[in-house]
Amino acid sequence: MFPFVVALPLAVFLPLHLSVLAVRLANAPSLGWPEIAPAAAFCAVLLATWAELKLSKYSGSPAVPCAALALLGVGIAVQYRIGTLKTVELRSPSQLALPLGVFAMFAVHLALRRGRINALERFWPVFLGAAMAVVGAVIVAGRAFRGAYYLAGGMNPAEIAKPLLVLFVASLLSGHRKLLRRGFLGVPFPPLNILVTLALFWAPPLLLLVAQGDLGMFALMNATLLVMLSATTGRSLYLTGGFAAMFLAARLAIPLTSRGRARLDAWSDPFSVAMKNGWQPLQALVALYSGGLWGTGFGAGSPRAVPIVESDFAYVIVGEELGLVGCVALCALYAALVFAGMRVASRAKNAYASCVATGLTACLGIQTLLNVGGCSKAIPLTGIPLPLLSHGGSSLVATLVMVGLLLAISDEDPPLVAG
Amino acid sequence: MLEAVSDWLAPPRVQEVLSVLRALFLVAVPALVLRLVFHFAPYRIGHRTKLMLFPALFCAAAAAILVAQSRWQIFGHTDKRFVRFMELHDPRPDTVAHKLVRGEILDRGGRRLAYTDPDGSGRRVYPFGEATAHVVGFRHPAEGLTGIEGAADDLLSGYRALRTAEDFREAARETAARGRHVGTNVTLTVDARLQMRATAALAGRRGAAVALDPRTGEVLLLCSSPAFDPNIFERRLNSDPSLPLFNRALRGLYPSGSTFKTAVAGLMVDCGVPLELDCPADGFRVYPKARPIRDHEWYSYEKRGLSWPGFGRIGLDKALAKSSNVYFAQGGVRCGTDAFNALAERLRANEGVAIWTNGGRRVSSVPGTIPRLGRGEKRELSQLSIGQGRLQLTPLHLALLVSSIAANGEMMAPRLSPEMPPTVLSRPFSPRAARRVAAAMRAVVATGTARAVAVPGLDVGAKTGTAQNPHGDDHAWFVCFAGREGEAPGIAVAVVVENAGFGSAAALPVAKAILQEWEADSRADAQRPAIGTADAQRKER
Repeated sequence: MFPFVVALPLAVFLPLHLSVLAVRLANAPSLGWPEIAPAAAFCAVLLATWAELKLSKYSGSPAVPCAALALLGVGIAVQYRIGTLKTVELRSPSQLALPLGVFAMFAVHLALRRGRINALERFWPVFLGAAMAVVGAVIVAGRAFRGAYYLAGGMNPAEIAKPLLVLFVASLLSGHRKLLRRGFLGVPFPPLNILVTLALFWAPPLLLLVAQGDLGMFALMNATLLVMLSATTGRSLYLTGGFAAMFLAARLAIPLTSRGRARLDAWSDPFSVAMKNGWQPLQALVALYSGGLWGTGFGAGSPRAVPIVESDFAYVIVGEELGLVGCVALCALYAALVFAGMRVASRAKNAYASCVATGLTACLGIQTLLNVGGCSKAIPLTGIPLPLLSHGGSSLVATLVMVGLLLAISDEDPPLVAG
Repeated sequence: MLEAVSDWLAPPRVQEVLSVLRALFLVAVPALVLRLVFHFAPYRIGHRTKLMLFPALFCAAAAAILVAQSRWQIFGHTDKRFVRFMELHDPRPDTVAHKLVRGEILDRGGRRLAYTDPDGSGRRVYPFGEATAHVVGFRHPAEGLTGIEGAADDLLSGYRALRTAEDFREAARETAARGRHVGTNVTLTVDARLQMRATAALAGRRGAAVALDPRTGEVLLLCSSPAFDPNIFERRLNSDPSLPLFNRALRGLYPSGSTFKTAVAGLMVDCGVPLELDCPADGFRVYPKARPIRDHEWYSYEKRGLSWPGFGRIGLDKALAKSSNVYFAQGGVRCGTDAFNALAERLRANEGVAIWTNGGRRVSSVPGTIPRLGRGEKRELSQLSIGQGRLQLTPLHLALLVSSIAANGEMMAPRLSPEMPPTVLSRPFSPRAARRVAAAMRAVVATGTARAVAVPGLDVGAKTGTAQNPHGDDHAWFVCFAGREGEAPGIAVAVVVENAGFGSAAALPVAKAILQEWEADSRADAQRPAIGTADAQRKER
């Protein structure tokens, strides 16, 4: 195991944490012990990960844990800076999310490594059922807030449906990849019954997501499916044609709902609805502008001017305080994670495992693009959190579980004889 | 120990520390990414090489998003609406948008009509309040910009000069040197003293007053009543039934009544119609069976049960002095519909007249209405000739009519900015006709309905009007021009007071107040050179 896997994430995290400490010290000469808590928590996570990988004789890609830990460090620094992570309080569910997520990541890794994940291929009905059960439970037990359903405390356990759906659909895709590949002159013509089966099993959980009001996740999972389809079959037309169809469907369907229309209006001309729906995205742009190229310095800006900046607009905090340069750096970290994840998929020996890794990576990457694009007004807002940066316990746990799955797929060979 | 660290970190050192830490972060991230790349390099990518297309796609999409982001993050100041949003809604104290201090709006004597409160709050102060509310306009976070504040926004905000990033950097340097960047000042041709006096004379009644300099077209006065205090704008003004936000001087459309007879008089001279006409007591009929147009006197005699002998054969001076309907209805019909249509066009009656074109947005009046007549519409023509029927004009249109009579038939384009060059908008009358009508209007002051407007030291010509209107009581009109004795007329005034009855009773005192103020001001200004020097003094300061 390479030491840089934990050393470099620490090098990314520490300047950010020290920046916030410097700003707080410059304002007041008092510093409580809780101010060290984020650093302590992150160091604990790094140590635990190091120990876990070392003890389990991890033989997979070091890039996956390295990139994921670096992003987790930036996320902790951002949440600490914006004030959602003040003290270590093990009672509150949002504080529990970090240890819970890290342990879930270890558990998934340990349980499914050495090719054990391939055994999951047969259990796809379990994952389908679990995904539907989770989303259904949120709809039944949750209450409506800003047009979607959440559990008490703003929790959205439906996030965990993301890895479940990927695990489920990967079985169908890798099982039928030869048939799905069938085609002529690059145009896929799979047998109709396969497509119908896929659609029939894919539709119920996705429709449940629509019922929950989470249209962003609906779009995200569909895009993930398209990437997985084209990756397993090697037919790029699944991707291009599928995205064209999705774009068309969105163009036609989104203006039908009042919420979708409001979001489209707030995107196309935020200034005309500046005091209503345009307020949050415009304030986000103002925060970005006040950051400029180099930013105000981490901890020295006022990103609080953007309402609920810590959740969907966490990217704006980086944009204001570290500038466009910081945004490029952050995007580079995400690109490293996507690159590492796809490399895991490309090296996996088993087609199912490869398909799962593709799906997980695609899901994380598309989620990043949708959120970052929404924050900078490149695309309409989708209400999707930024992986590992946005505030939200369920999202953090789900993302760490996905990282754990990637670790398990990567760690398929028994270690070479030490030498 | 913490205190020592805190002292050491006091600004501006904390900024340096933050830059160092940012540099560390910006080194650590590429180090991490490069370390991973070097780690990958020696190994085979894997047997599904096509999969690596997806990270490349991700990078391309992220790069596109970052480019889109830089359009706001780096070049946000090139979007005017974005800067306006920041100016109003960015709580950060030191963004560039807040350092753009709006320029001042000045009157012709260099008096400040609007300026930004120097306390740093960005609040706009309007020292003349109600008196200049409509012409200056106001700035309000929810209502936006109105009047000149809106039309000259590019200049006032200094935004016209800040187009490129280099301009912006220059402004930032200036900001660093002087603490703020000031927009351009805008000088108007209006006179704050006339505005104050006219507002006081209108005394909250619904109406408007406009004064022009006939020689140059400068707008000396643009006043609408009731007005509002732009310093404490309130939303409820939007629903006030007396419409205080409505600029009657430019947007109010009124039947102009007898004041329009001055235009018909000019047309009669130009058409060569004989100026001596028979005015029988029982009125003028276009057709034998048509309803006659009668004079006011006939009605007032009839009300008292008497019979009126009629004016008999009268000339232009007496007809205008007595405001004879019968005379001008005849005169208009004799000129014919073609000549009348051409007059309406020359008077720019059916067009909106711009008084501010300096920059992207215009300030102009709404178009008036003088319907275009067909050959046979003599009855309609006789109505229009006495300013009734379907004729509707704004106070600005009437002021232009009077100014063209006062300036030998030349209608100078009205302008609010001294920087716009004087141009001739139109020539409604020949010089001979204009001089003839001007003489007749002087006779109205000497012997007719406008005797009360005479001001010592001024040579005044005037015409009253009482316009019937289908929605209520008559509107009171008064138009006049005046010049110092022995000089060309220097002011042309149009006053309307809604539903106030006779023009000589309601509108004349307002016009007289304006003339008195103008006379006193021009006498005072003659003793010390006013325009230009006041500006120069301000600049020196």
